[in-house]
Amino acid sequence: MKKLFKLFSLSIVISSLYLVAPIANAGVAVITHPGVKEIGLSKDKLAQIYLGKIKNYSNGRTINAVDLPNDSDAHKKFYKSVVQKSDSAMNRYWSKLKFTGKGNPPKELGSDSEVVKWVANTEGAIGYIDGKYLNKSVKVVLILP
Amino acid sequence: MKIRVINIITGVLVLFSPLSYAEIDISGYASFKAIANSNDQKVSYYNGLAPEGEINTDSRESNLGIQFSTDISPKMDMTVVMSARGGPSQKYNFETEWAYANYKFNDDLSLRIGKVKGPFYMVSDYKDVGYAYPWASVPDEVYSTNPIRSVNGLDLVYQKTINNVTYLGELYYGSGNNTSFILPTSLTDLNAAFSSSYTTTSQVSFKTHDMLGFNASVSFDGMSFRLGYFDTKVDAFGQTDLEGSFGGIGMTIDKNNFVVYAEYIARDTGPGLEMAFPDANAGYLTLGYRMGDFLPYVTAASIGEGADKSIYTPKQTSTTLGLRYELDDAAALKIEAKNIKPDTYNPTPDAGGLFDGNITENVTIVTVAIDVLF
Repeated sequence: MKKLFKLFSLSIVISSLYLVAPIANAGVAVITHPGVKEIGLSKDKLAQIYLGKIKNYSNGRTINAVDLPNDSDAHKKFYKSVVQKSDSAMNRYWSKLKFTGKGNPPKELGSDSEVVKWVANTEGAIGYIDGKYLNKSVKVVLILP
Repeated sequence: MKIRVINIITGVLVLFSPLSYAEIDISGYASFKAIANSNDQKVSYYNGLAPEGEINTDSRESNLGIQFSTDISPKMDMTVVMSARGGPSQKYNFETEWAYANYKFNDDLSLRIGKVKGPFYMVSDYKDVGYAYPWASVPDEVYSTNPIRSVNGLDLVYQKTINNVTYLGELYYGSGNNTSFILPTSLTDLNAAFSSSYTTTSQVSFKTHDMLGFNASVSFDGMSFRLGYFDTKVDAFGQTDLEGSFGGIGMTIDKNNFVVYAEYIARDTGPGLEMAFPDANAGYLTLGYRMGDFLPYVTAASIGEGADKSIYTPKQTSTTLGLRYELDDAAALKIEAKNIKPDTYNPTPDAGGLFDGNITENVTIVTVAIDVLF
């Protein structure tokens, strides 16, 4: 019985490792509020969202994008791989829009865990985080290896 | 009576209480410039901007702005920009440069009401934000032609991206109180005509009203093309309802390290405005190439006669060599040398080109600028 239990718990450990591992190693996870029913969010579309060009999901609902500070690892990976612009290029881009009242950069939160919490509680929210902060309160739409 | 007072108090509370709970976003920009001008004829440039023979460290082109924005409701936000400018007359005193409420009909269409930035040139609504463009100074052949900075009125803005192409359409209507320098080319005649005693550094007030204009652009794949025009009535020098119009086309490319800025404008004014705002056509072309944190660029610019030939139109051409260096993610250092060839055939004795006196030689003006965002 004891042995069986051991075996059982081991299998749980293995299976949970199996489930978690690909995500934990995955680097950056793009996440949305569980209510967002968007399929096929490509990198190109994500870049357009983070440049403020795409403002609505396919069903017309408003997108609420959230950002991480420039010095966070997830920010560096996300902008390099998805938006493909340097921080100074992003600053040039947003300064033109922001100071003419024609657009605002995504809201910036201080940490990955704050992003998870905010995305879980905000309708239409989308964000990106280091995979190790992922939990079930949010939906994963893309993994950036 | 008592009830009215209470109503006013409640009204005030209702008006202000959401603000006290709202998040106020504070951001800003600053540009600090030092300018040197050297010529043998001891003539200063562009209404005392660069006095001859000294390094001008208190330039009126130095400025800083602080923007406060807040969401009042999901459909409504408000923005106030306080700005402070350098120079002998402005002394970095803060003034409310822009203040408006913005109502969003939907994600693409919004209406701004209040004192809004005028989108007259390609970069005019962010002319103060030096960080946003390559130059140490905007090409003054083009940017000297319209001193109007804001519109008190309505500004309808439509922005939409379809298949990676971003469309912007903007329609504005309003009025404004403005100040302008007197053109050195018309100083003597203007003083004679109005028995005044203006100098090249005097600023005169003028009013614009019934101003109606549009700004439209199409952007895709690192390129942007824009078109703008406005028509306005002007009250100046004791005269009212003078006619003025202003149009411009422009383009920017920032792609594969190549940077191109080009713009062409035409100012067309009616009788009564010839001395202060003579017809003029002006343009520039900037070519640059990004090499990591460096962006060397070259600009060719000119200003000359417009539709109606006027002896008061400043005429000059210039070539500028410049370098922008990214100090940081939000700070840039720029240095440029602008070689100006004033039109020596200018028939007015007062000035050559945008210089404050008659000049017959080419002059180099050096500008060092630091631009930051915060």
